[in-house]
Amino acid sequence: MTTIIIQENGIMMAKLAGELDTAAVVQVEKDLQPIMESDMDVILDCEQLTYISSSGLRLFLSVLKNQKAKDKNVSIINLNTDLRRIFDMTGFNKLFGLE
Amino acid sequence: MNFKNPISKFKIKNIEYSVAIVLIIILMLVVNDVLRLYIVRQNAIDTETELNDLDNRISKRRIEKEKQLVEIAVRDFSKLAEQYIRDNLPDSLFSVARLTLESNEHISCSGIAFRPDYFENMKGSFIPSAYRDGDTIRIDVYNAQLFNYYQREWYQSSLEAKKAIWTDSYMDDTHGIQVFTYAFPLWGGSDSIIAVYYADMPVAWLDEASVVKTTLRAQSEKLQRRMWVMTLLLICIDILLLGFIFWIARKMVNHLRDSEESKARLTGELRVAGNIQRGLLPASFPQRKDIVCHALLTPAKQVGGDLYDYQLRDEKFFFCIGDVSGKGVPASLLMAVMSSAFRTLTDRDSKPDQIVAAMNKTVIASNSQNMFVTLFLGVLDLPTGRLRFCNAGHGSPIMLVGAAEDSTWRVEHLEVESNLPVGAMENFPFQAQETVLPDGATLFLYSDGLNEAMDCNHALFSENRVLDVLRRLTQANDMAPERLITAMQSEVALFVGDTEQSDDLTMLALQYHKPVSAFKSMRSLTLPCDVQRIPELNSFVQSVGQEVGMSESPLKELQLAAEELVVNAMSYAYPIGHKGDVLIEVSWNAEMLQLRLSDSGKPFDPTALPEADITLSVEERNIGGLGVHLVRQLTDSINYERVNERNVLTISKSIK
Repeated sequence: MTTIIIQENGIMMAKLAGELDTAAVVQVEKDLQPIMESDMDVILDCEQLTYISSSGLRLFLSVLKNQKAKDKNVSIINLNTDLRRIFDMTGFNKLFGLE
Repeated sequence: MNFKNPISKFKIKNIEYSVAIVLIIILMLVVNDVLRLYIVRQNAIDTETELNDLDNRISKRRIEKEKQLVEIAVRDFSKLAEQYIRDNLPDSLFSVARLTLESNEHISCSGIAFRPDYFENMKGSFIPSAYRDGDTIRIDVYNAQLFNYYQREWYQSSLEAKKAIWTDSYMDDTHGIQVFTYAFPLWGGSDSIIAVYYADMPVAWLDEASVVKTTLRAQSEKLQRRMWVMTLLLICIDILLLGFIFWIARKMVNHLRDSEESKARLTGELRVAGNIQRGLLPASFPQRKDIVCHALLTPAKQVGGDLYDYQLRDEKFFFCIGDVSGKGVPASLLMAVMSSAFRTLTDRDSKPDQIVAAMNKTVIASNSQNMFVTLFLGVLDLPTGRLRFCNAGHGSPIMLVGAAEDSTWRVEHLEVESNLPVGAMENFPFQAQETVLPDGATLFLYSDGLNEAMDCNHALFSENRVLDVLRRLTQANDMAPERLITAMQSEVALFVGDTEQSDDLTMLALQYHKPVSAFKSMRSLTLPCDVQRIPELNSFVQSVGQEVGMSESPLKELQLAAEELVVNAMSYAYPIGHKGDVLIEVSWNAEMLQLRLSDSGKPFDPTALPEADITLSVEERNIGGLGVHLVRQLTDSINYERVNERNVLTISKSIK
């Protein structure tokens, strides 16, 4: 599981690749620290993400809550069909404005 | 169900009776008045007739008397007249006429009418006569031209009859009065009539003389008037009375109609309440191979206090039967509370004692009327047939067990703790019990409306009859749940006959068919309690999936379900610091794959966790509770059992 963070035009973008299972969440959470500490809008690019567990979803939710508290947006882009289904099942599609 | 409404029928009858009574009274009054009028009128006619009769009689007698006097006068003076005629003294005949009038004040005119040319010195007619002019008597010779007496009836009749006659009364046109005329022939010699001596007697004085009649008529008319006045007065009173009766009757009918309407409204509302209550019962029976179920609830009134309910969740069949103390609306309200509590509680709890205890708490909290509910609640684990149940003061169900092959069926009560009814005591420690239902076993649950159904002699249907009916059906191997219930229903109907149902009657029958496990192939993995080992689980699931031949998407879903459950077990079953393993076993056949997860940690049932609310906003959304929600979405079934001090979770997923 790899996480690359790019800062561009006042936006933080995280490119996530691999399987975000419970074991991986600990590392990814650390990798996303710069984003959590920033005062910018965030884009989570999931093009390379192949799997997400509920712990991964919880991590996304904590990023969203964190940025919302600073009045910043979090967008998720490039979800594959399987992951999109998980987002639909859990109502996360609505939380991240994916409808 | 058949809803009769005897109250409204009775009220309609009442209105009909009232209207009939009012009509009869009106009819009687009208007939009374008409009769009264008729009698008064008839009375008047009768009096008039009687008066006329009397009048006639009096008149007749008087006329006769007066006629006699006239006759006497004329007869007497006829001698004198004949003397004068013989002596040829025609002028003296005027004095005869005058004397006639003088002798009888009732003679108005008299004279002697000679035959034509009787006297040689007098040609033509000669009629010396006298008449009254006021108080004086005048004599006269009538001009025969003017007074052509030859044509007069009295003259001719007298000549024809050759004797004295009375005419009927007629109008004397000479004097213009109504008279009777007495005509007396005068004989010259033995065989020839030479003249007719006549005397007129007016009719008018007779009327004037009828004082009696006038007085009587006056009195009678006075009486008549009084009777008419009285009758009209009575009729007026009757009309007032009629008005009053109408008014009262209208008020009565309106009042009856009002109460009729309110009764009808109440009945209507009860019917709606009954419909709502039936809506609280399960809408359909489960369509499954492992559980066949049928039930029947017949309330004694439109709403009742019995309930049955069931729910399927995570390969567990939750069912209950209950009887709220009392009947009617109060009982039905508590029944609704119980029904709602059952559905809510079974959604997130699988332990019957805990569910019943929670129901007890709900009922105690909302029960100011000290009502209680006897309840039997069971949780049947469908994969294993393990039945956990809690009985709260309800009668024990009857279990039908045995083998179909050798026809040795046992029909006996399930042994149950009685505990206390729900709502009887706060914090009562309800005891759960456990047994295993063999394949093909049937449970028959019922409320006391069955064994205590009464016939017309107040004899009870009884426990023994219930058992007998069930034994008969098992011997005939005719024991589908629907069949048990319809047969029992017709037996009870036959027993009670036309007797009114006194209590709600509820029956619930369920038959268990243990599923045959057709899973053959199997692989397993043991993981220590450490989430960092999760990637091993994921590789294991991926490799099994490839062996089974699952396509990528369902395999990812299976992987996610497995991870969620394993992480749950690692986090909750083993508190921090406790070491333990999680065993993952996967088996499959051509269609289905089954993943069984077991651990030796403390009892933990993830299926009993509250469902995550996925509709909440970012701020309201809790971190957590998503795992089991996802597993339910991603798999075909989930089932938790605590077996041999181990938590056992089984999920199944279609391979295709």
